[in-house]
Amino acid sequence: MLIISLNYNLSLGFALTFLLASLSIISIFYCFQNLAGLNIQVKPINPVFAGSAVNINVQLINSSQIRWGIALSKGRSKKELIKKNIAAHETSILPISIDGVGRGSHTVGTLTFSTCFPLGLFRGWSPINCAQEFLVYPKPSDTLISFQYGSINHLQGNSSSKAGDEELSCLAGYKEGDPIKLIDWKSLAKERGVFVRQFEESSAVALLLDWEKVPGPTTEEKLSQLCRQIIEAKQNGFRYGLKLPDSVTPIASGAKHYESVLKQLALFQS
Amino acid sequence: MKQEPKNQRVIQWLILISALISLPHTFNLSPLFISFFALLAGWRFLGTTRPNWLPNRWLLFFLTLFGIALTIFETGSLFGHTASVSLLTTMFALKLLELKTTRDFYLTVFLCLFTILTHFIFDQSMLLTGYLFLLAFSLITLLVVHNLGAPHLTEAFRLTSKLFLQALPVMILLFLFFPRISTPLWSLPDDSSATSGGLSPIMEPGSIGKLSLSDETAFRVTFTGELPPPSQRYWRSQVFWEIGENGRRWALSPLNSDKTPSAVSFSGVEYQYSIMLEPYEQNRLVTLDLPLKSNYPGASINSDYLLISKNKVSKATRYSATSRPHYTGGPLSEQERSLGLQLPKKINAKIISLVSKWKSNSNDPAQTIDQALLFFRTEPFIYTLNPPRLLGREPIKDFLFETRRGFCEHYATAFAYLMRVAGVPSRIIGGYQGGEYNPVGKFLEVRQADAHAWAEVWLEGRGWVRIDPTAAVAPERVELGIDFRNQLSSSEVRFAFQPSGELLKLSLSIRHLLNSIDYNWQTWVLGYSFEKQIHFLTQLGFSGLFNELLWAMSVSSLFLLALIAIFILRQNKGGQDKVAKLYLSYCKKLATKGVSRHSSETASAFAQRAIKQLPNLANEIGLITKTYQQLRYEKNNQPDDLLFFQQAIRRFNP
Amino acid sequence: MVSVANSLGIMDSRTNCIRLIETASKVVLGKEREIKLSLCCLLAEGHLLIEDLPGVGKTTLSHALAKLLGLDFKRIQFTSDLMPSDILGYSQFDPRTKRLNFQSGPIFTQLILADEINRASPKTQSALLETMEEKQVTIEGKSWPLPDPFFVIATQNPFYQVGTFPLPESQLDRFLMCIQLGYPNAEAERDLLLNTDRRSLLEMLPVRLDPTELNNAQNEVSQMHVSEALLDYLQAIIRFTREHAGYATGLSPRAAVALLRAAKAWAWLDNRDAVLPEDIQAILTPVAAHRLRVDSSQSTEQIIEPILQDVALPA
Repeated sequence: MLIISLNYNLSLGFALTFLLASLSIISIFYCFQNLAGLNIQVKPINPVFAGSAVNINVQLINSSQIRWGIALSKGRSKKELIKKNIAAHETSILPISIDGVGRGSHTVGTLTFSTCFPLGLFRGWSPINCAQEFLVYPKPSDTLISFQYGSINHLQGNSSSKAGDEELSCLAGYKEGDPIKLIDWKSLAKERGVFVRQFEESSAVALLLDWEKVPGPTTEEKLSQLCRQIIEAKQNGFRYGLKLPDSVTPIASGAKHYESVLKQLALFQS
Repeated sequence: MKQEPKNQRVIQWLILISALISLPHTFNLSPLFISFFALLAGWRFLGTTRPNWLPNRWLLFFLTLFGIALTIFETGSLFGHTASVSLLTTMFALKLLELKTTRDFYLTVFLCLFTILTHFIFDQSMLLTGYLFLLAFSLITLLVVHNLGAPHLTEAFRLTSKLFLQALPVMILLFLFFPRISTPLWSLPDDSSATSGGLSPIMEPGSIGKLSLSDETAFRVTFTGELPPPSQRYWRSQVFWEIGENGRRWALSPLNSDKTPSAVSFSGVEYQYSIMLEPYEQNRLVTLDLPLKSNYPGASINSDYLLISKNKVSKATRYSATSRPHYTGGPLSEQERSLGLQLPKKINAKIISLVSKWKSNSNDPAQTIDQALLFFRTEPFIYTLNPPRLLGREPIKDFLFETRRGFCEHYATAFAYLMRVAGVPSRIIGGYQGGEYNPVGKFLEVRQADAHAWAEVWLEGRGWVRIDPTAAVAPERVELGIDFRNQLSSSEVRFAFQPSGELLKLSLSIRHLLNSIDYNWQTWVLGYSFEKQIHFLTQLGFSGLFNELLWAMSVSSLFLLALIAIFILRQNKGGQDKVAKLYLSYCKKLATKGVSRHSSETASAFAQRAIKQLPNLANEIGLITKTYQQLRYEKNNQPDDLLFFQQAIRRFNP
Repeated sequence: MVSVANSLGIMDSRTNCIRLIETASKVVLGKEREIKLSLCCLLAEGHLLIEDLPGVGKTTLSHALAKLLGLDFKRIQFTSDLMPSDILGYSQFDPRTKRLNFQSGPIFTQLILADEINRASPKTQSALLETMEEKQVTIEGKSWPLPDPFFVIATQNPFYQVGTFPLPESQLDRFLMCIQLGYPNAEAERDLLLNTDRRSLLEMLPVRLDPTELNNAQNEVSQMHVSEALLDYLQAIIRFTREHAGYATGLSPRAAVALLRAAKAWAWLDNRDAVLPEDIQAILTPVAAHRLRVDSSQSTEQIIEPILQDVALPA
């Protein structure tokens, strides 16, 4: 454009060329300012089963004016996973998901924040190495091999698991199908309504899921089957323990227990 | 980057803006290109809602070949600016049609901006510039919209305005200081026939039935001293010597730029003026009768007293000159005498008898001239812009004795013809006569409609004398000029009289104002040339060397850009006040000791955590936290409190 | 003179409030924070909802507050057959004067304990809640103003699900705070077992804050200074709840006002002249949790934790 303006000696051509040049130089400043000073935190990442996508929530804290079109990409690639405006003095979450992550413990790795604001002529980017870790549990097997009930071991489950040692936890409204023996007759007599007693450990079934007893040619398949069994056990309200070649987790139940046994599977031999 | 621009609306806007940008090319290019462009743009516009209507790759290839063929067929080549712009328009239309990816989007925006530039080759008027500036602004807004995370039109508009406001000063600096060159880098085959205007190189009265009047400005003149009276405002530009065989066509004299003017002794007033000449496409510059000297670089005054430039004036040009209307010419060379008396072989008997009747009264050429002028004045000659055509074999005879209706060219050629028959050397001068004084801008404005032709005869002892036979027929033409605005369809010519009504006065003063703005636009924006740049820089104290220009440009624009950068980047910190800044510096100091504040942590919670890790700093941390809370959340803070806080933090060195 | 008297008055009502909390915690053992929150709620001119099992001391707390503040106190046990007129009162024809006489209901009391509010029909519930909002009773076109101060402590049992009508979100929004009392700790429970009956202790409680002082205190609280920085933080919290995926609906403007009023009262009780972000964090759970709850299985910590963790506090 400059050469044409020079050759034809076009004053307005010069004006246009210089206007565009100034605009693009100034847009560099805007581009920089749009990305500079953002505070970035990666939220704790929920563990997932292999095969499903890992959801990562990246929190951006903007302590100044609005940021336009902040894009986030994984690694150093230019493929924008999400693009968002972040309002002034705002905390915003950019959710991204990553597919195809195998079993084990992983770090998030490099995340690249970029912006093409304001004119798209320049791209400002900033790669950030993120040490945040997350767990990927084995993929639950599609076929469930029936539990080895023979492995119920009261001794290993120690004294706390005496069947019938039921502790009244709370009363809940009667739903169709609740067993009659659980109805709280006392409150019914007091004309408070029909209630069902709920017990903390309503199931007496206790299992020890044993690495040795699970069939499967490879380590991964065995882990996959164990994983499926843990899920089944939890869904059925069973109490369960896990026996791996190098460790034994006593029989218990609850969310924490569930997470800890799955974590063992995730980290097994890796 | 193979991604679909998310918003079809953005594409629709881009197509609309592209169409609006190409629209003014209807004046410059063949209608075929414009129709081609309109067709393709419309097609693409429909494609935004019906993507399967868009052409496939083969059809696009065929259309491209068709576009190139069209350019060659219509313009005869692929070079020269009309051809290049035609080709560009065609390719632009094709690019629109295959607009798919983000890359295409940016390329199209660039094509739009480039097309804006091409308009300036043809026309640099203020109106067009304003129109194109608005479109350029919309284009940039569109870019901003495309790059915001979510389309937000008002916000984009605000941002674009801000960008423009910051870019304009830098642009002006670059405009002023970027080194211009006086000669083109290379010359493209120019298309002068496409943009000629004003004076024609051939004078052939009778061949055209109607003279079209154009109110376009031909040039504007600013006089340093007084203005010449209207009857002296003869602007000379062309000299015609040779008569064609039937006496109708007069040919322009060769440039003769090497021949120096014959000695002329001037007398009377001297006029100094500068002329702002519109694009002209000729070498013959306009000067007031008769020019002495001019400052136009490389131009010289030739033996015909024409100012001849080396190159054609293809863009608006400004130059100054000096003229004196009263002069006495020197002797006539033999060559000039034979040219000045050249006639067709066969001359009508009626003309010969008329001339010999005049000559029988007196042999004095001056007497003959008077007789001729008297003839025009007394016989029923009528001045009209709509004369009957003279298609007979003897057009001069037909005009003199039969039709007797015509405009300046008819009278000038007929008069010169008669003079040559009478043995008086004569020639035709083409140029402009008159001009309207603009009291706002204090300049004289001469329009294309003021084009005029008159005769010059050579008299012994007086040299070439200007004779305007039109003045004999219609003296108002010379005194008042043509009132072309009322000329529209009437065949008879009206001449401009001083307006009487208030409304007319108002309209006249508005016209003057607009012309004055346009004049300044021409002078200061379009006319900012190599010479003006040097002049401007010497006024600033530079010597105007190329190197100095570069330095001045770089230093000043870098300085300005740095200022703008600081202004923009400070915005990030704008949200924080002094207390916050000080507190953050305290947090930074603690962070070096391994206690860093979480973004959601309150000052006291952070202080507790810090004291647990650094118990020996408990006092300082406690004091700073307490003062911070007081400054941040309590009312009625004294300036001393901030000072105290500042000192406490400065002294805090964990 | 006036300013000195005023400042003395402020000091007085503030220290009295603090003494009131101390005295109350001798009756309701180990519940200092809950007592402070209740008083905070009263000072912010809001109403209190207590969600807990029977027998954890809701009545004792309400009664103790009434005694210590010298307010008259009534307890309304909500049942499924309770009618609005049983609370508000009704018009009765007096054959002697041949006029309708308004028989005022138990609502015309300074401190009301509305026990097990979710057992009454929605109609009765809304009669009470509207009265709470308007601070007057309107029957047959006539309005009778409620006493000033007017303070409602409502209770509901979270586990009764049959035959109850849980308060809808719109009604929950009318309670400034919702707190849980929970079981007393071991030490407090031992004390409870050892010492005499609480009821008799209640009777002997002195008045710590008379109604004029309470009025003063309420004025003081409403005039607490709030800085721009604090409002920024408050708005950031509100915006976070509106945009975060974990919440079905964000906090309403009414909730925002409630947060600010409660934070002011909390700061005042902490003997400060300005509200700090800490105050907002302190009252966030009782003020916001019941408004943000999606289902009853969520604990209040689960609801509030993301706010405390993620909302940035501008420096």
